[in-house]
Amino acid sequence: MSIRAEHLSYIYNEGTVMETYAVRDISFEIADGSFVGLIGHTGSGKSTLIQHLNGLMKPSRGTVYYNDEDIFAEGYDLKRLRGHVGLVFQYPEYQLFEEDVLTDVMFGPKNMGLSEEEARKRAVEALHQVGIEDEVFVRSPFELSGGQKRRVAVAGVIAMEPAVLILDEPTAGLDPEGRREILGMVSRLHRERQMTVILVSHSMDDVAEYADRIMVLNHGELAYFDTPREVFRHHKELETFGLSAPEITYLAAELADAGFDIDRDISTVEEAKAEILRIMGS
Amino acid sequence: MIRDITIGQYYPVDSVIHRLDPRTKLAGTMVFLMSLFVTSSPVGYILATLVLAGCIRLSRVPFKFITRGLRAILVILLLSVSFNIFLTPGEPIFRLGFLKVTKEGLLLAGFMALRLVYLVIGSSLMTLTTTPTQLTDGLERSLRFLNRFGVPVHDIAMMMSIALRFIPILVEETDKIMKAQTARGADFDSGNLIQRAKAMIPLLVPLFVSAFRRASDLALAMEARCYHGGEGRTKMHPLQYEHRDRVAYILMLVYLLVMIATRFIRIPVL
Repeated sequence: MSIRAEHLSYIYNEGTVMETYAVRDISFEIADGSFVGLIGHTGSGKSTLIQHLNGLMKPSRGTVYYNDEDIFAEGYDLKRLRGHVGLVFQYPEYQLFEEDVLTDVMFGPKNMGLSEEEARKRAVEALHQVGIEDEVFVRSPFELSGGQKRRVAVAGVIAMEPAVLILDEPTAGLDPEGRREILGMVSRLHRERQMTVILVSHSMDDVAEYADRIMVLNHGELAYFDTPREVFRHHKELETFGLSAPEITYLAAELADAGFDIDRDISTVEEAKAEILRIMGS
Repeated sequence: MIRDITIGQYYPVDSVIHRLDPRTKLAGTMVFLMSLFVTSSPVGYILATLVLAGCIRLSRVPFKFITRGLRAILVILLLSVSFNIFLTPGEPIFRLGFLKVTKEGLLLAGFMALRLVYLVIGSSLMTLTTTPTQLTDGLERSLRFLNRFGVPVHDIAMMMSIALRFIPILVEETDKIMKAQTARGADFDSGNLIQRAKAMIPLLVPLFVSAFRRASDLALAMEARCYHGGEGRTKMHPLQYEHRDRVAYILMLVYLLVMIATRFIRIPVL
């Protein structure tokens, strides 16, 4: 059970003067139950890449396997795949359209062919999971706050109960409070439902805290796909991509330079705390 | 299909056509459109085809790119052709139940189709070779005389340029919302007419909401930058006619005169 990309390339405007590679010859395998952070500078091909994983975009070259089946093969049921590989777009609140919150969340499950009752059950569950209270269910999605809208939209995808959840910059445009809520919710889903999560972001700090693997894209090419520790060890190279390591990694490096016996490759505050306590204890 | 609309899109290459003054291109397009309605003889259509082909060649825009705009008018094209074929009175060729096909009808339908196709190609060629800013600058300049009659030319030109600018944005937005809803299992491609119309709701509601939001954001941004209409506003790139524009105008005049002349040439075969 996994998602595997093989030599995936996507070319915009092939055969014209505007021909550009959005994604160039990318291969990787994401194991079930992992939490992958996908980072890259604006225009590095992150959004293009993830749209291939549930068959919304067709690659120019290469293909994607879901559970060892070629999803771009003739006759493959893409609609069913989209129930398994849920994709939350950037600013998902702009896709809300129903008269009330609950009906909007039921849209996905109903499209999967579930009965009205079952769809309602799943929608209620999903809404609770994202922290939306019952009295909001009957309100129009257009009169909610920004953070609430975002959570309702995410619930719209979760209600399909996908095995893989892909989120494209889910925290864009939210305040720190909203960011924490969304990220906390995603990590809870990952833990409690054993969902595979692919989190697209350009905030290193967010990604470092939750992801067990990090994928770095640069100009459409896969630069790194490794554990956060290994990836942030290359923070000099990351900077040439217009990215950076988490703040805390820089702090650790400064402390090490100042003569402290601290691990340079720390990437989260928790790790830093443990290291500093260890040093102070010795 | 939504991505096939080429009107309002710019194809960035450098060519003689691209470098022409936008006013010249506007006039050229007008002349070309007029010529299509002035002529009714095959000679005229052959000439128009040659001129159009020549302009496309000069513009260095790939032919494939230009004809993409045609797919969007396919339905209108089919409708007008079939109406013309079946509903034009004249010398019948054969009957199909209560419908009869006439020689005049076939000819008219053929010319009608050619006209429509050339109309779209001609105007796409202009927008493909002219940036929206140039286009509205050109329009504003050419129509400035209407100011005297109380027509707010600048405002209209500004609205046009905004509308043109919004086409690709809304197309992109439609594409994005469509994908987002497809990711939620929506199906836009199958089912009967009523099911398909219903399937449009999850697309149209967010699209309208977003269009209004964008419009209001833009209005705010313009006001924040003290936009107050055309009065006393200067241009960064004032329009200036060059030698090639004068040549183009002469060619246009010759072309139009010849096209008018073809009206009076009768070819005995048809």
